[in-house]
Amino acid sequence: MTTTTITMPLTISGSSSDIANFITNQREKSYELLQESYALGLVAKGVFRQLDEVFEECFFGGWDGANAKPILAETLQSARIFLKSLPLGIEPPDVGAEPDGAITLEWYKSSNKVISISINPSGWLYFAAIIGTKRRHGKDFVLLDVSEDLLELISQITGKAG
Amino acid sequence: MTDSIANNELLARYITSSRWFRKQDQTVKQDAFIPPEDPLELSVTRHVNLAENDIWSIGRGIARSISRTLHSRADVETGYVTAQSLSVVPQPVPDNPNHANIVGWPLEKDARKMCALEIARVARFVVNPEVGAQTP
Repeated sequence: MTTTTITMPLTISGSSSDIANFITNQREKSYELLQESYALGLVAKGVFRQLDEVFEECFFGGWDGANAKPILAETLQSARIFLKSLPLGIEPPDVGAEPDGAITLEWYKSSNKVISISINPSGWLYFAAIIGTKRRHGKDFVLLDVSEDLLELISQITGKAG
Repeated sequence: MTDSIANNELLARYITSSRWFRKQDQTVKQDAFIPPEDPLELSVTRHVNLAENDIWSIGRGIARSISRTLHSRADVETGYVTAQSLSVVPQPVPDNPNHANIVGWPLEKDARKMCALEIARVARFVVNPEVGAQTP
């Protein structure tokens, strides 16, 4: 079966005209409908539900039994923004949390094929990946479109074009 | 209790969140090995001089203190930690004389994630016998 990934970034047109606003709103609604499609959407695949569950489990300090920082509402919102900026059809990540208050998104195939992305309270995202003998790590800003480099790393893990 | 930690000494990281391990193959995620930011220290428990029951007893106490389930623990040899240019410093506390901290973490978050990923990759996932196998 061939899988098609559709890239449909959410962008702000910058125009104040009624027609431009109408088109933007309609495009967002269409995108949300596609997200609910099981074949394409992270919504249907339960990723956003996982986000909410992680937030409920980790919104208080010390949630790990030590001195873990709570996950803030702002971090949750940043994670939602990041997930919405991923191409439709992308394989769903596994959602987790780190003791420094970050939300994690992980794509994993084996101990030699894994990428973990942290969405931090600062609005920055940090990633680390093991792909065979390669090691990659770096950072991006959440509110910008997902970089091609990061999408390429994810596709090397999942084996599907992004 | 010796203050120097041998490279082959085992360290236990208690898993109190179901998000810290992968149910499909019972492996540990790097999330479990990321330190809080202030201070940049990761709590572990040294196996030395402890029976298996004692190791679990300490973990259960930690889980009870936050009303969480002790799912499992992740065991890793000290040598794999120091191979990431980190150090293990004994830091006994009242409820855990075998408590230690992994310190020397890089200041950059992505570099810390890389260290955590490498440690998690070699860590051994040990299921809490009171909870049983964690399958999907």
